[in-house]
Amino acid sequence: MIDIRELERRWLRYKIKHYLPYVILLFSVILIALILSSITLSSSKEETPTKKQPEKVEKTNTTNPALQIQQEKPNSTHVVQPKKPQTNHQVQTNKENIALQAQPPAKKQTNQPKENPNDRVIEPSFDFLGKMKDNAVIPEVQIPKEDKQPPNSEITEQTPDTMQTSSPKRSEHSTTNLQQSQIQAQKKPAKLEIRTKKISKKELQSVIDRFKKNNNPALGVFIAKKYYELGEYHKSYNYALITNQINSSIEESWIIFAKSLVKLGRKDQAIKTLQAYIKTSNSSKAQILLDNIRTGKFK
Amino acid sequence: MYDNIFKSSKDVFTDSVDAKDYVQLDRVSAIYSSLKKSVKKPLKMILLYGKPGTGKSMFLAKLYDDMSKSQNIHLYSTPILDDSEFFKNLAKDIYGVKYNGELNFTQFMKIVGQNSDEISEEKKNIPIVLLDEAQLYSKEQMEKIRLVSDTRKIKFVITLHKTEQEDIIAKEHFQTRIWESIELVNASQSELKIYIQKKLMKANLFDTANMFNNKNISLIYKITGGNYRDTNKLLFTLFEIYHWYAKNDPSKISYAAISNKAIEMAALHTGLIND
Repeated sequence: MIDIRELERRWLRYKIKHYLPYVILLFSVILIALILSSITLSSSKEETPTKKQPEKVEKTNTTNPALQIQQEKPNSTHVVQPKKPQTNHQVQTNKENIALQAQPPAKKQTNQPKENPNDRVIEPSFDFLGKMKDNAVIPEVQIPKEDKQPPNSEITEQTPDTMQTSSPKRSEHSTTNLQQSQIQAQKKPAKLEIRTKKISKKELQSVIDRFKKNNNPALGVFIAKKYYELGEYHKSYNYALITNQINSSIEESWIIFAKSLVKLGRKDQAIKTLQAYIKTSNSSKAQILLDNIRTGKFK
Repeated sequence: MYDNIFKSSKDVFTDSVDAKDYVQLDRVSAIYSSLKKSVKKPLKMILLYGKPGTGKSMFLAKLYDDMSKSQNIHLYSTPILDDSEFFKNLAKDIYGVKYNGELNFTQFMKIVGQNSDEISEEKKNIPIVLLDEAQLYSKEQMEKIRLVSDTRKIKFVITLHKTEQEDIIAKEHFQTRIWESIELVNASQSELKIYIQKKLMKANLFDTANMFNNKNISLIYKITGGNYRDTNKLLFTLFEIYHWYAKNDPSKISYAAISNKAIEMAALHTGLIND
């Protein structure tokens, strides 16, 4: 005689056992999906603040000119000082133009000093412009180096940049310099401010001259940015506008243009300009700026 | 009412070798008719082989049942492992010779020589001996059977389980002497459905025969692999479960269709699946 009740219990156990792998599989799939989505979310969250960083720096720069110079234009102090006594201005301008048009990366700079020592004398200005354009944080590395090194040594000013990519020893040195420079930059803002301001004005004039001659949009962006940093928003607006007319695809130029408009109290026009630019370019930077203008984070 | 139907259905699947329970399936029928033809040929031995539960014993029973009226045919469902007993039984059954005391192979061959001419003239056919479960016979016994079959005075139809070891036996003892070997295999899913339904309908159990749908058959086939013995075992237990429910908890079962739960319960009880 079969014990049906016991058999029913056995059957229930059997069914649970039978479906258990499927249930486990289902749960693991759901778990993996959750983990993946959380990773995606967290990475997207991380992206957003990094994009906002440059703006924050700019914001602080506008309110505190001392910080602005420390963080964004340390190279100008390097470049201008050695340039004048040693190089021919014409030659320098031509080389700068080539360098700016090609948007020289660090690798190009590393090759140049090896080939011709004379180029090293001119290169700091390329580096300076390029870095001014691309990243405001990187030049911080060079601030303390200049302080440590003799004022006229143009080669040694350029080499740290080049050696960062080619020599591991130097890169280690430069990373320590980076930390030191950050500390020093925080500790001694006033000293740097005086020096860079004076130099930047001279440099700016020479850049304006060059821009007038060759209409290089990279120089236009630089000038616009410079004037924006100096708080001369009319000029920054004008130069950004000219640059946009020369080349309408430079993101930074549009951003300076929009920022200048906001500073000049033409917030609506800035919003319209950014909206039009975002439509054509899908620029995330422009979108962030637009959002900040709308929310009032950027005034 | 239903508890009786389920009880009768259960009895249909009792594991027994009875020629009356033989179910004619197309493929099986074709094999059976070829076996019948082979038996009539002047063959020394016919080997019927296949995995356990493929219907070898049923084949022999059916053959015996069909031919016993017209042919000197003898079925040994259980192997007689003692030599003397085996030959004494053969002498008595085939030739009607009762031998007192030990009967060895030589003495048996003498009996065969003396009686075979008379039989051949009388019935004009050679006596047939059906040996089931031949893998249980010893090597020496099988060798003696071979020698008897070589005299062409007795024809043997033997069944073997198809295992590696039994294949060796088949090779060693019969390969050169067997004129025909027939392999029996498990039923296909469609054959299994016909088998179940025919079995039930043979016993006039049409209600329960109609309770099986294709899903049920598919599950049964999955569990038993088409093995007739396992199927009988499973369905016997299945109807036992149904009988219990019909008697004790009738609301728990459907009388229109067999539930897969009940099939799985039966499979668990019979050990065809494990929990």
